Amino acid sequence: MIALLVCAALLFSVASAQRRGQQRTKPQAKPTATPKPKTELETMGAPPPVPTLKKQPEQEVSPGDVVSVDTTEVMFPVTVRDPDGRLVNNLTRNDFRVFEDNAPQPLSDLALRQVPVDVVLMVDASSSVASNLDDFRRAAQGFVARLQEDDRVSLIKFDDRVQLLQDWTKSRFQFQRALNRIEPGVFTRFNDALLLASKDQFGPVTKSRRAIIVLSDGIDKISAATLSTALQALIRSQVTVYIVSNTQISRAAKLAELDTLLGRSDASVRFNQIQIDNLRAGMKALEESEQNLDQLAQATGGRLYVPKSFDALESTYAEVADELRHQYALYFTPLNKARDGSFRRVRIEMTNSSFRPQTRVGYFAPKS
Amino acid sequence: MKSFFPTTVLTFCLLLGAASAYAQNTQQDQGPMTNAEVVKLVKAGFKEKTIVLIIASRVPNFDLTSDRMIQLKRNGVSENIIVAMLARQEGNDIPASDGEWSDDPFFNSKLDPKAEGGKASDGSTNIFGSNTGSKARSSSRTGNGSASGDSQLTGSATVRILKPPTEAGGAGGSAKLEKTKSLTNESIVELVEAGFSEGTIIRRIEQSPVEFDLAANKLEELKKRRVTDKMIAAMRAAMGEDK
Repeated sequence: MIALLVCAALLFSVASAQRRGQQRTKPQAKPTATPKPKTELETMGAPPPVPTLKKQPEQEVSPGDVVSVDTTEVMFPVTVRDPDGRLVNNLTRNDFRVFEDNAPQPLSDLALRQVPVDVVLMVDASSSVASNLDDFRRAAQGFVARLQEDDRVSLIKFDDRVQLLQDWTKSRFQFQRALNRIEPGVFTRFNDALLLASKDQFGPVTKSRRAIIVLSDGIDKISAATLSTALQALIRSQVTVYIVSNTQISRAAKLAELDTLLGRSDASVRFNQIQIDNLRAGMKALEESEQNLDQLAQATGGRLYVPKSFDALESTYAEVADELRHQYALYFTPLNKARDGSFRRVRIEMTNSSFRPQTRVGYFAPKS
Repeated sequence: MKSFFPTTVLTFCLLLGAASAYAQNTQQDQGPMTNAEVVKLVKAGFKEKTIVLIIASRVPNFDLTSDRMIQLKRNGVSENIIVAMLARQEGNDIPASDGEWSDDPFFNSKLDPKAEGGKASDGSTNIFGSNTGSKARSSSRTGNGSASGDSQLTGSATVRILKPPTEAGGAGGSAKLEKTKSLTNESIVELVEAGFSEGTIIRRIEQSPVEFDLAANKLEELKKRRVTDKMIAAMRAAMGEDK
């Protein structure tokens, strides 16, 4: 009997020790709460409003527009569209006006150059995209085929991990090999992936244009970074983000499923209520995500593309390539010389007010 | 006889308690698997196929640059295990190797690392985990990953629920950009000198980013350092020079 009591006491102590251990480890196991990104993005401010425009005949930037680079100058990639949404590529520096914190910057310090672009192609390999990776591969191949010879590409895949599958290369062949290394995964570290790409792949600001093209629905429940942190890093690294979102595709699938469920008898609807609620919640999450993605893309001077099917990926990526080809690299030397690390809001206006410029919201001043 | 019964019961209870504590601790500690853990298992005398089984069941966080692979080999980790680590790290199927372990039913039917990622080998979608020791089939009606699948289940099933890394207390929290170093002429020579087989090196070339210099004088140097013609052919193919 004594032996049994000792045994019971031992088991109890082991169990309590384990419980204590679990309690200690609990805070680690708790998923990182992601603050609502929409509000944070709003604190960064919306991109400047864009006027409407009219079509101009195509024309190359003349060599006379090229001036020497000052070390303190900042570069803003700018895309200009006409009122019909077509890209305008015959502009000179006199067509642009630049304002920093509402103060006009002298035109003499404004230049337009055509410079190579470094592009990171990122793909969300989680379940929402995993079954359509071949569509992405085709679209990505088509995209790099449209780039200029001096443009560089790299490839990042993210799911619960963020993997650089191909570092910077000008080789289309090596890029194609890297595309074959994409494997499907689970979960989506969207924010972490953007943050890591901006910090590790781009690093300190250089004279090149920088872009990220990411395919994702943006629904991220596991990243350590918030969308706001990622956005700040992107703006610090002066990266333009183009987002190809599959939110519309997912939403259409969910809506069709919801319609089917709701079209059944009352008893069936009651039986499937949990599933119906899940679908509605999923659709709401997609809508919120799409809004955040749109704000993120606009704040960096990029664009959100929402194709209706994965078949449309090729044409969407072709459109992004076209946009990059017709992008102006606009340089100016800010009048505010303070190296205080502060955020400076930049606005670009066009002499022709019907033109619609698209650029990032601002830049962080260097800090000495 | 009187004293025998309580002693037996006491011993039994102690063993039971210890086993239960060990099992729980083991589960709690399962973070991503690293090179060091594999070396530990090898040094502890685990069989090759047991280690591969463990690799297949854990989230990988291996460092498989050429230097690290050589270090693994020097620590007694076999090529089969290294190949399994490579496959797991890259999200591929763990290859059935030559020799006894390719016949193991584990490699022929049950081991499918992709099932963890939601894709079973038969093309059906297994949303939350892998199943073992049972005939389980799950299919999604929508194909978009929503949990509306019809399920047929016979026999017993062990379902491993995949938790986001932050919940699992594993690799979650801050992420890092995992980079695979490009293979160079020098890294191929290092692999050859470390004693890796031709097949393993070719497989590595096929699955890695590469930056080879295949100029005539460099090829001569490679040959002098025992890089075989088949390896060089794989290097050429990886550089797109075979076309």
